[in-house]
Amino acid sequence: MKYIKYLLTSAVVAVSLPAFTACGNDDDFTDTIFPTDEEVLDPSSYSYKFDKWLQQSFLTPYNLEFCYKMEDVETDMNYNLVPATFDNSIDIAVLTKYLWFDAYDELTGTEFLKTNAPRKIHIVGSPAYNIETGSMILGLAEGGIKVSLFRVNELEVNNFYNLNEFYFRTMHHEFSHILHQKKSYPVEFNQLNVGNYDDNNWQDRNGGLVASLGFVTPYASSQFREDFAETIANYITRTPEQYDLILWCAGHGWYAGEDEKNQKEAYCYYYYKSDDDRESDKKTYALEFKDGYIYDSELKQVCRKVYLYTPEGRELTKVEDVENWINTRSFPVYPVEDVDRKDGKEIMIQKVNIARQWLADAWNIDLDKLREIVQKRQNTLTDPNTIIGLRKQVEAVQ
Amino acid sequence: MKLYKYLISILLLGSAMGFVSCNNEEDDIFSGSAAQRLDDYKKQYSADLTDKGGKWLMEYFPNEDERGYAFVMSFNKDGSVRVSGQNVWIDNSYKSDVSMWQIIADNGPVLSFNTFNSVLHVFSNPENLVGPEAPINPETSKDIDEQGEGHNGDYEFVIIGLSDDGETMHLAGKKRLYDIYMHRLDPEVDEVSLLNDYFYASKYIFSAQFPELVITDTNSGEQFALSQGEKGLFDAWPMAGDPVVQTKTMNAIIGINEIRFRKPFAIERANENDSIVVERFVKQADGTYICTDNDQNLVLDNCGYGNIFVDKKYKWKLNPNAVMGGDFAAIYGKIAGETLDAYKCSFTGIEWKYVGSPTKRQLLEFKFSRTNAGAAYIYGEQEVIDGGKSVKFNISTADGNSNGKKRLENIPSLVEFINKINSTTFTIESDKRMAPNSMKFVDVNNPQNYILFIL
Repeated sequence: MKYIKYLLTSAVVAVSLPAFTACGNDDDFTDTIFPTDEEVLDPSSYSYKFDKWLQQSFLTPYNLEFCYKMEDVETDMNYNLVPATFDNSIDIAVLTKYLWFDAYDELTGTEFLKTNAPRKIHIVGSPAYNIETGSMILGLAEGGIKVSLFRVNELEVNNFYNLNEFYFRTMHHEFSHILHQKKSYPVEFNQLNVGNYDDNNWQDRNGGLVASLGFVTPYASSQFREDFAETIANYITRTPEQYDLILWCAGHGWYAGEDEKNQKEAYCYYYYKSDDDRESDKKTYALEFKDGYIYDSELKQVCRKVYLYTPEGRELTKVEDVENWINTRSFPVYPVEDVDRKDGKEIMIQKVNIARQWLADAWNIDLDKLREIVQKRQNTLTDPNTIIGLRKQVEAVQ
Repeated sequence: MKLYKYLISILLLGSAMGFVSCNNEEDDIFSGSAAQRLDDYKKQYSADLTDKGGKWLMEYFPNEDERGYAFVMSFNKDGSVRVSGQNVWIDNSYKSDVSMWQIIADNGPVLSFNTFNSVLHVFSNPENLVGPEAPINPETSKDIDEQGEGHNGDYEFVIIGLSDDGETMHLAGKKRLYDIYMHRLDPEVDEVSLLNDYFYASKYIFSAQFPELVITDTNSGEQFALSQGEKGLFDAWPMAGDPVVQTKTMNAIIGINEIRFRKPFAIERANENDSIVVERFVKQADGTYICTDNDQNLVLDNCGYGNIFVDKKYKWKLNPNAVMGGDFAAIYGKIAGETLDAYKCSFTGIEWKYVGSPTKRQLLEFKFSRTNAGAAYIYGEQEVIDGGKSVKFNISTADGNSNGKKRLENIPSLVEFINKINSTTFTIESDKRMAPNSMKFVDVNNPQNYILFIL
């Protein structure tokens, strides 16, 4: 009986065991569940010429998808964003090719960008506004894979400063991020302005004031890595006149505060309007660094040129003009004491040197030659025929 | 021993279940993989949208705080779409723009307008709102800064489904989730005229100048107040209830023949335990609206022409060329001549109104072109009759201020006109039932006799 019990038990267990293991499925893999139809451009499509041009200009040579049909999953869904217009998409695409890809190709040959270009450029019509800080995002680089360019619907192809501020500089800024995300830049860069970064309030800082600390823009003063990308992008895209003016500002002391009407002001030279003012040390700006924005008749920001503003309402954009203005005053003007204990100009130059050396060592890129090429290409945009010619590349697609 | 038997039984049962659980040959529930079916839906909906001319009317809600808007959309097989609209955010005039569309695979099939369209995307643009309907801070009377938000409207829509007849597509905004409907249009439809109708319906059917409207539940007799939603935003509450705690708000799209709320609008009954639910009111031939959703029978009407007419804040005018018919026209036509004879100046009209200072009376003011003569008031009374629907006049032919009395003495037709008004029982009509800025008083015994008062 005992034997039978063991036998039964064994039989039951023996039969039960496969029941727990027999669910393994040894079938071969089936076909993919995804549709396998190959996407072929349709010549009757509304966007055929542009799509074909993008294929020929970005996808085939660089394995890069230039995404102009807005995909909100490619963005931060917390922002309210809109797509770019079709016409502006064409303009920003041809400009991206001309000022970024062709510029690098001219310097490095095509292999560099084949290897290092992002895999996707995603363009967005509107800015991404940060409601809390009042700032706007112009571009994003994510993991060396994707670059997003915003505010494309405000593109003005005939406004050089607008193009430079909102697009070209953004392109080079974001590409700098991609490069340093692949190969780190020297940590000594981060040591140059330790204690001067302010990630939360950078947008409230004045351009002249941050220059005297060694930052090329207020945004550069937000974080190390933004400083690095801004250093490269501004060096490449700013005209020599504009860049020299920033360096000049960096070499001076700045006062930043509020005027009598509680408006923000920042100046590097001041004067006294009267003897009473002198006695009470009531200073009036002589050379003011505004926020740099210029507004059109609809109060839209159309460009962000660096300039110093005089009491007579002049906008000085060259060092030569600034110094000439200081030296020819009929009334005495006084420089603001530099109290930040930083030689902003020297720091800025050091930063560029670090970036220059890193680009040469890590990427075999000559920063100054790149600058020269980009500047040369940027300058051609003052001729309206340049953009017309670039658009014709798309129109000529068969 | 018993326990042992039970254990063996359980094991045997488990084994039997084990055998059946290995059956891998269940019938497929779906015809293809999820990805394949989604792809099929994309193709099918793309074909549906471009079918039969590809023209659709979209009833669009950008948010919960403003009216719905109408767009006409023409979908083309080449991936382009022409979107047309007429609303306050595009300068009140008809505007059309071409951009691109695509059905994409996202949260199910999604209709995406993926390049900027200046008619549609104005509701998604995150810029500060500027214009006559830009929200104002009621405390500071200053513009509210919407930078970063704009209208908050969607431009991508999850396709919920297509009606069996293929004429209505139900969508839901992808981020905001509001229900959006598209109705197929005849490709030959005059979209300029259609959008113009929506534009004017939205702006002119209702007016905050007039009292709240009344929804009557004909089954229970209970009545509900509905605010004049001239901006497409309606407040509603039970008239026998507490408006402070029971007021509900909902936005709607106003068409020339219907009002459709953004979603079913539940309005509490006075007892708070139940609600009427309104989604769609349809305009009737007499200008009222009826809702028959959910087996209800709700009638939307004004609060009574008579009640509106007697409100002291209104001045009802009859100009010299006032529209009148029958006996009224004949008598009124003589007043101008008699005025000229008596006063050597032109008759410029009559106003029926309440004058606060110094008279504090309802009166009829007689006007002529002599500006230094002083006001001529003829006193009168009015009584709301027929359950608020009409008015009975009792205007004096002898009492007024001194100028009024003189006019009565010197212009016989004026007395005759007043007597005719006093002796007539009227019904009241209006082309604008919800906001009657003109009222036609029609003699119940002879419809040829009528007077048109203008506000």
